[in-house]
Amino acid sequence: MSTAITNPHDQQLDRRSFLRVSVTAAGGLLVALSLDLPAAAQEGGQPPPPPKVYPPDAFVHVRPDGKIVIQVNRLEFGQGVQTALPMILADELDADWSQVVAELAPAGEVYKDPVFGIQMVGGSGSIAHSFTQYRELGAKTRAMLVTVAAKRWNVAPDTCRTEASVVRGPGGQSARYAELATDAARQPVLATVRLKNPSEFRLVGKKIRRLDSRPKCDGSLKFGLDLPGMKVAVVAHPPVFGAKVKSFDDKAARGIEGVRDVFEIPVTRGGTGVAVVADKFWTAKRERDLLKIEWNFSDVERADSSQLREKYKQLARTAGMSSVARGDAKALEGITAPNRIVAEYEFPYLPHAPMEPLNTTVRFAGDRAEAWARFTVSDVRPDGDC
Amino acid sequence: MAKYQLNINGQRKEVTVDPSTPLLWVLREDLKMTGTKYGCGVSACGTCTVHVAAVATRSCMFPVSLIGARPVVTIEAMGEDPVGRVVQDAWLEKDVVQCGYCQSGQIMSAVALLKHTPRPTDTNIEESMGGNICRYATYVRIREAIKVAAQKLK
Amino acid sequence: MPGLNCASCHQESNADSTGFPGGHNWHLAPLSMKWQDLNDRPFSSAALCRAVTDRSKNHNLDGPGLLKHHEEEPLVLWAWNPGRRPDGTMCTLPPLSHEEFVVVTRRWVEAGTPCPPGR
Repeated sequence: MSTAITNPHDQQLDRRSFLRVSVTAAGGLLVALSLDLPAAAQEGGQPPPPPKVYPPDAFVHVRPDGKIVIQVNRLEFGQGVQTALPMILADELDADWSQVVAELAPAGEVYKDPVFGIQMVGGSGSIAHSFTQYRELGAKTRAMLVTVAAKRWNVAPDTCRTEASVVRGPGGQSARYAELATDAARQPVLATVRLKNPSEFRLVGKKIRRLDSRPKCDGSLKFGLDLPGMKVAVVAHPPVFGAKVKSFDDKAARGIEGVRDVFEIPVTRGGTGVAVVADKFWTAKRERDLLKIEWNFSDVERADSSQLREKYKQLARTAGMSSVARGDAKALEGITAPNRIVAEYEFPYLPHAPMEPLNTTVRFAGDRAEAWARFTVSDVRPDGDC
Repeated sequence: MAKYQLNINGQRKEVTVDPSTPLLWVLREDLKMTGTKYGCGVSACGTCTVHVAAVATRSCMFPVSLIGARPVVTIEAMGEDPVGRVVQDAWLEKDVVQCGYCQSGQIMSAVALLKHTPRPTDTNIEESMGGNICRYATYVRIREAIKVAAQKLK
Repeated sequence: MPGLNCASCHQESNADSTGFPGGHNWHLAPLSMKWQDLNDRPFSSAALCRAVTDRSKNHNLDGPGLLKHHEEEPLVLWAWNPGRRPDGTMCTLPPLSHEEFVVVTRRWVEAGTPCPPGR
């Protein structure tokens, strides 16, 4: 799908303009997003980039044992993308769905969201931005397999059919994808390929069971906290954002068996906290609870709940940014009514809080580190920050 | 540190741990059984639910020193359990799971409910399952799946 | 907390390491035995006394029955052994010892379990 959002009136797209343009763009697939994304913001004012050619083998591996392993360029957090994107690819590929294995792709250039230009999940972008991408990957892989089979049988590729990981020739010949895979890998990747007519879909649009349901029902699917062989670190956070450790007493902590180390670390919003590292969680947690920490609150922003509430109330009475304008709210003011009800509704701060606690696992090996976490944005910069 | 003999899913296991260690962490770290999840650590969410002497129990707050000889059953055993298997199949049939993190606990609570109340009403379901929380609100499908399982178990 | 089986969390004894109290046959009293109104206001002494001595609601306990309850019921005794929090601090105790509690109960029972006048 094209991302050409050329609006002659927008010389420089600021965040507001990007929101407007994306909502009115043809196709309506881009959802208004409030992230400040330099790559996406630039795209709006420039000509569309040339179509990317993704190397299929970074995304799909047709194995000699018949399994078809598909890399998903998103994080699966329950939204189903780990099933949906493989469905799309497998449909165009005409793969045997029962042999499809879906893996979450590691950090990598080729796994960036084609529209946003960074590797991430969010903004309802997974299917919207990767639908055509995954279709093409599936179709191109299929084309390479068919080319190999057609050559072997000395027939024209378009006389061959495919279904359930098998290529069938016009004269009754057949070959499994697994047998053709090695030779297919030597085929050049086509720049363009014919995609299915939606009426030909066998998976897309059908009710298909999630690939990850069963392991989530029997406890076998591994979440971040389930990885083996870890040390565990538990952090004593300051009671207020930005507070710092003035001093801490870890005498009680160090005496306990299994505690590896106790030290001060930077935490969010310029604060510092104390980390306890141990062989097991309960050890780390208990020792964290026994730490005696004195906090330095001098740099902390002096927030006052009642003052903030007053400020928010005032802001709520001023005109804000229009997200959707339908009808005429002003017309209501002119209407006389015997009872006029005015109400203010307060909502508490509601974070996205899934049951899985925040956690990150890092494995160091010499000068390399492997990190497993719930990164919604896993773009890795050249200096190693991510 | 103390030694404990535990009955886990019908097998005898011996662990040497601090007596204050909750069952959850004995399962996850000493016995390497990570199917039971840690959600809150204060019995407020239900992700850690296991069965202790057939009672749905929050393993995060239950020190190993209080278990004694009572049999402990975890999510890992549900596939071989006649009620557990039907519940898991119902979960699949109704497409219950999303992220899945709460589902071990949900299934353990549901199995305990069905074993005590084979024909649960909506009120039974709410009362027994209301303490297992799910950020993705799979509650409606959980209720349907419990009813499907109850039907199949008739 | 929505309705849950008590034994999901509360065991036969206090779990000090996790801060969870426990005792023999841990359970809540039925609603019929409540000591506060629907707006969470505690009953007056007069109303409380009437509630506690109402044999249609108190498991048919007469004066001696009430005394025995105060002396021996495990969950009553638990109030004087409420356990510790995970940081080691003791949970609060009633303002009188169990012995004193039994003594004043006996005196009240021997006087015929009188209730203060009023609402």
